[in-house]
Amino acid sequence: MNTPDLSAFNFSFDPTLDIWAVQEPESELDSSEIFLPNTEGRSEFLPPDPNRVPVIEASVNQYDPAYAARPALERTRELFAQMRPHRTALLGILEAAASPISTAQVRETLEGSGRVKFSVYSPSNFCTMLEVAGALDRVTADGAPYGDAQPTPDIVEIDGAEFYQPTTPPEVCWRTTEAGAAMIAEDDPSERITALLAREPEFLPVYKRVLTLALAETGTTMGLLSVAVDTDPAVAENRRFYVQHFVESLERAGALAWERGAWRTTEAGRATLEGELAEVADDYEIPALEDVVEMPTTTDGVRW
Amino acid sequence: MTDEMLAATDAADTAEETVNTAELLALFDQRAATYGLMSRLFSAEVDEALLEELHATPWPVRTGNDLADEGNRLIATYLSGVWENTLTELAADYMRTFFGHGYSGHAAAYPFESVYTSEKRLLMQSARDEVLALYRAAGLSKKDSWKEGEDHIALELEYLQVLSTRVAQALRAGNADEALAWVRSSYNFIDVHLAGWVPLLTAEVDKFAKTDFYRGLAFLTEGFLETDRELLEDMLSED
Repeated sequence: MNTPDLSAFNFSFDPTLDIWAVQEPESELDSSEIFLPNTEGRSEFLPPDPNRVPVIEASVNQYDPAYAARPALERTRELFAQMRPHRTALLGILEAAASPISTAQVRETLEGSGRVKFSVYSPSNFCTMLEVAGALDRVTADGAPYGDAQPTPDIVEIDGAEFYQPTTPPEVCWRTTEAGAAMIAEDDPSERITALLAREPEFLPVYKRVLTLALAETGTTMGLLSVAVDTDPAVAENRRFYVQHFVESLERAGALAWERGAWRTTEAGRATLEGELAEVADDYEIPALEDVVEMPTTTDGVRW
Repeated sequence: MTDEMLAATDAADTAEETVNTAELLALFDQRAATYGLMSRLFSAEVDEALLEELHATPWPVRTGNDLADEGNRLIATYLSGVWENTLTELAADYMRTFFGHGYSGHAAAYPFESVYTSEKRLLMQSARDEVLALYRAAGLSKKDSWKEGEDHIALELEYLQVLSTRVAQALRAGNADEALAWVRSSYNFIDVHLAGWVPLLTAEVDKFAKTDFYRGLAFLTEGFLETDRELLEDMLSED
């Protein structure tokens, strides 16, 4: 038998991590109770047999080699379609990473733009998604492929025994790939805005109203937009939508953006107002704020 | 094993070479720490404090067991590539490996003994009842915060951590008989429970895990249990 060199294991852990509360040994053990069949917490839950579980159709398995074999631009388009609420952030990263940029700089860029809303995704999450899709390359600060810097632990000697000592890798930087650049180039808000307006022609005056209100120098808030939209009989009597639907649709299309703490009309939105919506008549009179008692006039602390 | 335990051999091919009490105590303290580490890694996702500790930990190159060596190599190599998204990567891999997700119909390496020892792969079967009885007989009760079955790998490993700590405590108190009893309990628990199903679990982990961290944990766990079982067997055979 080989000598089990257990002395090599030398870990130190916070005892508060322990799951067990060790009690004093019982002075008398009631064996009949201990060895009775225990039915407490029995469950009929049957875990699926890993070998028999069918894979859900049309699901995207990014670990399948077939996924990596697909064109990067196709995978990037798919990612943008799946992550529509985060299109602005994803595009912002691709634009910022024209030359190598660290993850910390990605964070600064996104936060500095003032266009990133609260999200469960961190900048490094976004970068990883774009990397898997083929829109970003992981590189070192000088632009060399990061794959050349494979992580390797050091080997150190402690008391005559060899140990792997994990090392600190070079800083991860990102650079936009050809597919990522193509995604930036083919991003066309006007096309999406046109498609949106064609999809909901009955609400053209509402869309025009939202974009017009957001033209103000200070932008506008969800509360004020709610007064302008949710009181409109065209919306109120056809209660499929609330103001959030219109704001979100315009944002995803690229006509409206959350910037510097307010909703503001983008360049593409202005062009839409001057073009497709120029002839649309919006004769709804927005009620005065004080007349709309039940309408929210603030965002109640929610940063929309 | 009474007085002999205090002058036990190091359970290896150098069997005739005796070790002193301090070495024996260090051995059981280190066993406890290793079981504690493995238990912690199976019980929940890695958090920031633990990741820092793992990154600072030296991982043995040669333990005398090829599986454990491969586990240490994989874990240390993974930890050499930590970056801003590592915690998310590990959390996602923990979830994928031990819970499964919708894309795979929630197929996963279920970390419960009952799944591998019951005919229909059911939870909460006789294996759970058996280990629960053993825990209770050892005077252990679980904390309310633990919501999983008692035959979860994390609890079974932590049970061995507790027993190893008790061996060390008994040795420190000069109570060799009690130490021997806990050694025998440890060996029996590994022999009857963990040795039977952990190789099945680790094979599943190797199938589902995408990071070398959890693949390494699977190798390390299987290898360490193999080594530890041989060690305890040797100790008991010399009694």
